[in-house]
Amino acid sequence: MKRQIPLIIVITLGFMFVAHTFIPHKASVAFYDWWVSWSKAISPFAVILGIMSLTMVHGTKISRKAPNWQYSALTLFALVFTGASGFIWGTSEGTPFMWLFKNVQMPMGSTMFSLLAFHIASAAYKAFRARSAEATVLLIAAIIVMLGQVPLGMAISKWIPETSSWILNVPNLAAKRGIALGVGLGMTATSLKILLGIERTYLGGGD
Amino acid sequence: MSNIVPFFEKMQALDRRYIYLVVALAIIIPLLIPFNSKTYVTEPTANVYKMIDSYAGRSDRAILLSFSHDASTMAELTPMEVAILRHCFQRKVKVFTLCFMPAASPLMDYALNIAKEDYDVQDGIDYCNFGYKPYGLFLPILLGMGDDIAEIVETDAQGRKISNLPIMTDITNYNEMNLVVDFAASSAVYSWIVYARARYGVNVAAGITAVMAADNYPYLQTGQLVGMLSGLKGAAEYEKLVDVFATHKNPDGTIGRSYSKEILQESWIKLSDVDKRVYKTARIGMNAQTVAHVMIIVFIILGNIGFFLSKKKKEQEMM
Amino acid sequence: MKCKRLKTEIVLVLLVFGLLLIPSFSHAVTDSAANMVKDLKVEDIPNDDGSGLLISWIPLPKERRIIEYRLYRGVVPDSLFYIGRIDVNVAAGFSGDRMYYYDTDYNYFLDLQAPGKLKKEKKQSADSPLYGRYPRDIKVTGEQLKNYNILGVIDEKEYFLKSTPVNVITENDTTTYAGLQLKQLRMYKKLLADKEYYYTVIAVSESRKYFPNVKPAVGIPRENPPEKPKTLYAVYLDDAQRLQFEWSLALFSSDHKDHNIYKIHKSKLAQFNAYLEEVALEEQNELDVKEDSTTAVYKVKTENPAQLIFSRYCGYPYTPVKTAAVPIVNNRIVNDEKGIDVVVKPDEIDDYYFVFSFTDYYGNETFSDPVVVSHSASSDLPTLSAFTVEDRPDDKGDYNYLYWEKPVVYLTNATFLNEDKTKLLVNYDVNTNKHFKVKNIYFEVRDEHGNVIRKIDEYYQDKKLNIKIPKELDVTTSPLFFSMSFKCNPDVGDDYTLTQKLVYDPITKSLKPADLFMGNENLNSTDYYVYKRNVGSEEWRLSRKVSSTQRELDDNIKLESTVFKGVSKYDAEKKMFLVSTQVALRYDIDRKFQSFTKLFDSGAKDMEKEINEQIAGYEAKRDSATTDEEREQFTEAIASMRYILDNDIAKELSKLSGKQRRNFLMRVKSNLARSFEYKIVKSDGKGHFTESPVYTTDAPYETAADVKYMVGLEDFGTRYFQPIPNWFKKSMIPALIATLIFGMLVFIMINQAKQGKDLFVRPIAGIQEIDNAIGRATEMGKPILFVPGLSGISDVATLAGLAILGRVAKKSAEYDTRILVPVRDYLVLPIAQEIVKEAHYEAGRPDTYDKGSVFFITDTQFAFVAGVNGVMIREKTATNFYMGMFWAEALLMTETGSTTGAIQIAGTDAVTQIPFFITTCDYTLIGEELYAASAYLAREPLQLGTLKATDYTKMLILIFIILGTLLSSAHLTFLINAFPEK
Repeated sequence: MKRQIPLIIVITLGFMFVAHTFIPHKASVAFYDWWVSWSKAISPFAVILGIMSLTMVHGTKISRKAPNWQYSALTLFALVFTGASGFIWGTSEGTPFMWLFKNVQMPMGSTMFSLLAFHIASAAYKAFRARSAEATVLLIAAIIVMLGQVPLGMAISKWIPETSSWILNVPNLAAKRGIALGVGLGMTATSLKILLGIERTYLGGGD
Repeated sequence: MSNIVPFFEKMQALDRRYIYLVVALAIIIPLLIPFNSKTYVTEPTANVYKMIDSYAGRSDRAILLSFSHDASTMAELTPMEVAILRHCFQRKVKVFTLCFMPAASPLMDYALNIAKEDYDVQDGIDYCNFGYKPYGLFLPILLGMGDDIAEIVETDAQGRKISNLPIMTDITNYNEMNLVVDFAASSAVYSWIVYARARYGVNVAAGITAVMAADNYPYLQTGQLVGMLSGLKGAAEYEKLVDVFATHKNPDGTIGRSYSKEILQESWIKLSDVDKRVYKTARIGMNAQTVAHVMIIVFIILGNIGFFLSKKKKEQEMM
Repeated sequence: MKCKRLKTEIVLVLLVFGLLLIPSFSHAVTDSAANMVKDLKVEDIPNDDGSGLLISWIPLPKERRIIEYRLYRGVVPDSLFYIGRIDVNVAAGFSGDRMYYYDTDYNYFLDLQAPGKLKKEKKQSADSPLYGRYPRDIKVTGEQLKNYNILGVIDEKEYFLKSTPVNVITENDTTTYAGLQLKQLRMYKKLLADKEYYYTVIAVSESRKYFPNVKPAVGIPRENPPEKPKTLYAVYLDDAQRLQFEWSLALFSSDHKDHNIYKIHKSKLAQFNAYLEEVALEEQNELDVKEDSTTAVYKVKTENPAQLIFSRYCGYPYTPVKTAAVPIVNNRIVNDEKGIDVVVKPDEIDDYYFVFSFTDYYGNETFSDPVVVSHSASSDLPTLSAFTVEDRPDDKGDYNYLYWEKPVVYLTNATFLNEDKTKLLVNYDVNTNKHFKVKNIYFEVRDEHGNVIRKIDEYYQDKKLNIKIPKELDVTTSPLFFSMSFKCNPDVGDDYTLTQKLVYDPITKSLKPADLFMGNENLNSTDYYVYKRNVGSEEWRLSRKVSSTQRELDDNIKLESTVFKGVSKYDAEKKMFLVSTQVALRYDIDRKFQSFTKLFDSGAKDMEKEINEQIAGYEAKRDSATTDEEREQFTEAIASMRYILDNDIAKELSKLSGKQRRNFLMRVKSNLARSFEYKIVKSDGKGHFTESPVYTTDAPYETAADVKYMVGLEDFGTRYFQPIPNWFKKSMIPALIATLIFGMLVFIMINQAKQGKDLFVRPIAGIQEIDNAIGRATEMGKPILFVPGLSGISDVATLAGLAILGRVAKKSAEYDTRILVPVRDYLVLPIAQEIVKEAHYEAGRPDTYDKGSVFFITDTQFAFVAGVNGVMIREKTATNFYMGMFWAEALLMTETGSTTGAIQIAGTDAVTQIPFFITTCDYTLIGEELYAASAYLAREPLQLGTLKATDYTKMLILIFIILGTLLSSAHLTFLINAFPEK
């Protein structure tokens, strides 16, 4: 019973939304909008779950004095402090919350993002080895595309940028589309499995 | 030979932190010490330049810059915006700015403030910032500008009625405001193509981050986009075009000349001759990008040599 | 030791935090006058209906770091309410000299989002006159209703079905009103003409300090004459003896009433100008008298020499027709309705000036500059053929579809592909409509001398042409001539050809398309003005102006109907705002009389009684009238009164009562509001225009409206059109068929699998290695990390990732290996917890389940990565799984994972991240393999059957792709056209 009721809900609503795709009628649109507004209302409650999980995990660490428990204390402090500053002073421009967002969160996010450049460099160094014929093609293509993106490529030969854009537009795009096709089908199949109740792991447990 | 092999073998197992260090230096040094490098102007960038330049000095032509990005992609897109604005201010092209994202609103002020510093231009006469409009009004405004800009946009960023501004003389709709350049890190330009271009025939160009540029090539191929600035590279190219043509000092003392492919091919702008750093941000950035790319290529080549040598060694040992 | 160092670090971090926050709370002490805006002015806005004020001030300098200016308004200087703000960017500052705020038209007054109680503005002294927004508290806000013109916007259901009858019984008012609670309506306000309003402004600094307000300034909105009409074009068609006029519209103001055209004999121009001067003086004098009642009143003395030849009502909604055709018959222009009868001799037409004017409800009139006619002939007018109105298919019922004429193709752009200027890329666009399906477009390119350069058959329209130009042809001096014809279904005829030139433009150094011609008609010089008129409305309004290269138009007709009502009264006890119960219905066929009724039964009965009394009164007056003119007036008045009671809707309504009657009334109203008739004007914008008749059809248009609500309107479906909500999207048929085929295949394959048929599935290394990877972690005694993607539960990739988590968790529970699942989405968290818990139960190890092993980190993308990387480094995870949707953060995680030496298996459908996973992970499931993984691991017939069905569907798609490519290469495009583009 515990499994069946959710499953019935999933199957009925699932087929209703599939039907919505084919029915443009205002009744169908109204039903869809009504439902979407409900799902919007549900998600804020989920935040509570997230906060509870966070507090529980770090709270346990602190109470057990687990290794590095101080980090947990700092995490909880930041959580409470940021939240409280938003509740007390509001979130508009000029408030401490906005200040924290601009001066702590944004630069830290950018820092993490820029680490990507370093990681790409080291990944490229490790990956591009002419181990086999395919790997050699990959290697040459990579060098041409990299050169094609900077003025140096043009300085060497005008064919480099042109070959680079050919590589991006033809073989690259073809592969991307091929993958996209498979992904689309895979999504449809997974959705269908869920609709038909074949895939039930998301309800908890395997079968 | 015997000395080289161990070196390359060491390179094979190089700690990645050395790579990080080299990449960091390859980026930081060119940014600190700009050097002169050549910028080659590609067709899509030149097309945008040519179209804007053909409006020079005309009161019945204007362009619209639509800012559809936030601060995270400023590094790539702001140099483009500044270069295009400088071009417009120098060549007396009427320019409007507009955004549908609250986060883009300060970026418009930022770009305008940088670009107008050296020029005697006035808000409401030479340019006008329409400001931030809620995204819910995106389509109504986009379509409404096909009939009457003043009516649908109503007020500018300062709250002034647009219809009363001197810049609006001779400007009614897309027939006059005939080019829209959309700056985005997304496919926002698609809506301009589908709605504004298809219905009103307005020319659409894109300023886009390098990562997203590939998505726009199909539109460029079909001519639905008149041109495109892609990433820092596009910005660097536009900066060069502005330096070569718009701000060129003619022998008779006047400033500016028309675009010509022949002139472009033979000109070579030294970065050290451009006094303001904000006017060459993209080109300096491109220097860093070039060096970083070359460094990575060098690493790849070194790694491969090492790989071959050690493979050979193994084969010899096997024999 | 280590712990001590950590503590010091934490104290340091906290200290830095604290220090950083200081600037946000502190602000320099500055004296109050310096923090007030300067030179606050409130001015009347010209050319409006007396409801607009312009507030302006000099803002504070940039150094003061202001982030917003807040405005307050009131009718007395000592209590001012917050009305709005202007945001300023602190870093960039404000670039202009003065800031402006327009308090015009209807703007926000009150709705459910307003504060509950009246509050003093924040951080103000006790004697401050500043308050927050108007509150929901009806005792406060109700008192303000009299100070403004308030418009209530009410959902039709709220007004018709859920409002309460409320009687306000005072000495001279016994009217019944419809009472509505605040949650039932939104209110907008407009200023009242000739009333004093006070305004003040305060600045708010970056640290949200509210600076003191400047002394309130007062302003009075005044009614002004309309804006001067900018242009008038007058054309005289010599052969048809018809005058044609076209003008530009003024800025909208709600008091506009009529569009008029006058003629003035050239000899009387001086007199006309004198008259205009006196009118200006009189208008100024009217304002002066209002300011100071002792001023002597000035009246115009000179007679207006202009004679009215045309007049038309132009009320709300404001996009009226801006063309007029005035025929001259027997040397006269006659219009009985407007009382026009003027002599105009066609041979003397050049002796006249023509002027255009706007009048407003206050009797003001503004004239354009006088113009003379330009002569033309009927044959010079643009040609306009018939158009059709239909319901737009496949929509929710909010569009009518209009289409006309044959398809059009035009060149849009040309680019040289090489430096010799011999290769040219030409772009074109095609506009067609539902009636014509374009199959082939034939382009013929010629040079100046008519030599054919290139012929192209565009059997598939990819909007581009590649043209080779002969070397000897110099395109910089001689243009290229394109002629374009079509093969369409149905046939457009062989003689239907369009021509366009490509001309070299020396400025852009490229070829530019010139104007497009259809025969001799330049299609770039004209536009279509599509007009529509509502059944219940007196005048036409513009639906949209489209260029004459367009061939269709989707006309939006909103589904929702709202009711607009003035709000001037309230009932504090019932907590209700009161609006009128009068409901306007329909005009009669000639649009002479309009009928109306009352919302509630009792009101309708009272109205009937009142009207019957009035009719009796008029009848008595008619019988005692002395002149024919008077008698006619009363007869007309009686007829209009009778129409109110006797029309078909009123008759239907009288049969019903109570809620049934109101429901019927609502449906009648909303069906009326959505029914329109159409006409088109094609014009060059300068008076050369052709107007189509109103579209009617013999074959009635299938209709959405329930005919019973369109009582007495026979033209419904033949002249008046309303869009239909559709039950099936026809463009989705291919998708539906594909879905059905897929579903069928799934059933067949599942059945086969159940019957024990061995279904072969391609082995995937990444999936086969999952067991080994778990085993490795067990051997090493280290935990497993599983990241189920960064997207939410509605993403199918997350669901696929969670399905794999179920299998992995079960295995690891069996091996008694700890599994760590960091989660980014709140909704994924409980589901992942449940999955891992169930897996432990199934493996028979419920004791080893630790709820804390599935945990939420943060929903911020890069902070989440930092958290996951921290887990990897601290816990030294032996095996890392990444299954689901990933963005730019993918590489950051996998690189860290590879430095810690973990075995990594990734699976994602994010195409852009696949390369990163491949380079840094040991095994990667690419795209669909992620979705297949769960089936591989489960090895049950149901799962394998679906997997196999997916493979067969993929094969079908590939067959279609190859077939489509082959067929279209052989000029057969039916297959690719069978699929919708979007």
